[in-house]
Amino acid sequence: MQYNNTVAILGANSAIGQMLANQIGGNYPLLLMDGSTENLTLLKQHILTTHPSAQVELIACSKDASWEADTIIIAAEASADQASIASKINEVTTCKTVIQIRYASADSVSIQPLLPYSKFVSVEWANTAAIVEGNDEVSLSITGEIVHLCGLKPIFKKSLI
Amino acid sequence: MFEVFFSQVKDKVLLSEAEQKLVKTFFSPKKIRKKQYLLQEGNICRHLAFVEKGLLRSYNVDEKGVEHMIHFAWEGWWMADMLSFLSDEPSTYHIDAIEEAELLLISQTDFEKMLLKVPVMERYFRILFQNNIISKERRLISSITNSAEEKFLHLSATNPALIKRIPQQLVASYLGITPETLSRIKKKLAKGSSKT
Repeated sequence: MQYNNTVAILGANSAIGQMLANQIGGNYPLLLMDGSTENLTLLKQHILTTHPSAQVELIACSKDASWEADTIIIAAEASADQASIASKINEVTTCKTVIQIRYASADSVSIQPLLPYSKFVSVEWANTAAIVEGNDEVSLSITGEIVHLCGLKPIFKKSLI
Repeated sequence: MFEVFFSQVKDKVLLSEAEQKLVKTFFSPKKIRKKQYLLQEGNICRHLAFVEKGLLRSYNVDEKGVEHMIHFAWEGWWMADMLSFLSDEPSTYHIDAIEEAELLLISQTDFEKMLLKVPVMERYFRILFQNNIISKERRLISSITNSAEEKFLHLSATNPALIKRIPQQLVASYLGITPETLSRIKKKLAKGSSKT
C-alpha cells in the first residue's frame, strides 16, 4: 500500500522543529507535537499562511502522533527530552523511519538503542549542510529529501568514508 | 496492539512466545482516520494490512464515477490489493477507512523475511490464502448465477456481520445491485417472514 507519507515532528517548537515544519509543510501531511500548544498553534498558522493547502494537525501525545505517522522526526533540543520521547514511542515505530536531529552539544547521544526496530537515521544539522547517517535506503532517501527541502545539502555519512 | 492479530494467528497455527516476539518486529503499527486513503488507484500496493480495530473498504471507480465495492475488512481481517502486492503492478483499487482504524502493516520485503525466519507463519498464510480462494470462487459463482435476492440471502447466511455493520448503499454496491433494489428485497423478505 502506498499513502501520503505523514510526518510527525516531535519537539516541533524547537528552532529546527519549526524550520522543518515550515519548510516541509507544503509537501507532507504534518503532525506536530510539543509541550506548548500555544506556540504550536502559532506555528500551524504560519505554515498555513505559506502553504494554504497544507495538512497540519496538532497532537498532544508523542505516541499517538508516531502511531499515525509514517516518518517521525525527533527535534526536541534537550538530550533528556529526546530520550524520553524515544522511550514513549518505541512500541509504535517498528519498521518506521525515525529521524533524530543531533545538536552540537556535549551531552548529545544517539537514541538508536531505544528504538531497536525502527529504521533509524541520525542527522547532524549545520548551517548549510546536514550529515545524514543510517542503514535503510528508503529512509535515507526520505531524510535526504526533507533536508533538501530545508535548503540544506544532505551529506550521507557513508560517502565520507 | 497485537491482541486481535495473535488471537487470529493462534486460531490457525501454534506460535511460541519467542516467535511472537520476532513476528512483532516485522509489523509497523499504523493509525488512519476515517476517509483517509491507504492506497489509491495507480499506486503499487506495498503492504499487507491487518485490521486490529476499525473498518476498511476496497473499491474501484468506473468512468462515470460510480464506486464498486470489492472487499471490506474489520477487526481480524486482512486488506490489500493482492494482485498489485504480488505482481508489482499499479493497483486498480482504492482502499480507505470507513471507520477510524488501527492497522498492522507489513511490507513485501518484511513479509518474505518473516516467512523465512518464522516458518510457521508460512503455514498460517497458506491457510489464509486457501480460504481466500474459496471465498472468491464462491462470490464469483454467486455473481454469475444468482438473482439479486439469492445474492442477498447468500450474503446474509455466510456473512451476517457485514450486513449489520456496513452502510446499506455499500452493501448494495458489494452485491452489484442498486440501493433501491436492495431496499425492495429487504422489504419483501421482511413481509414474507412476518406472514409466516
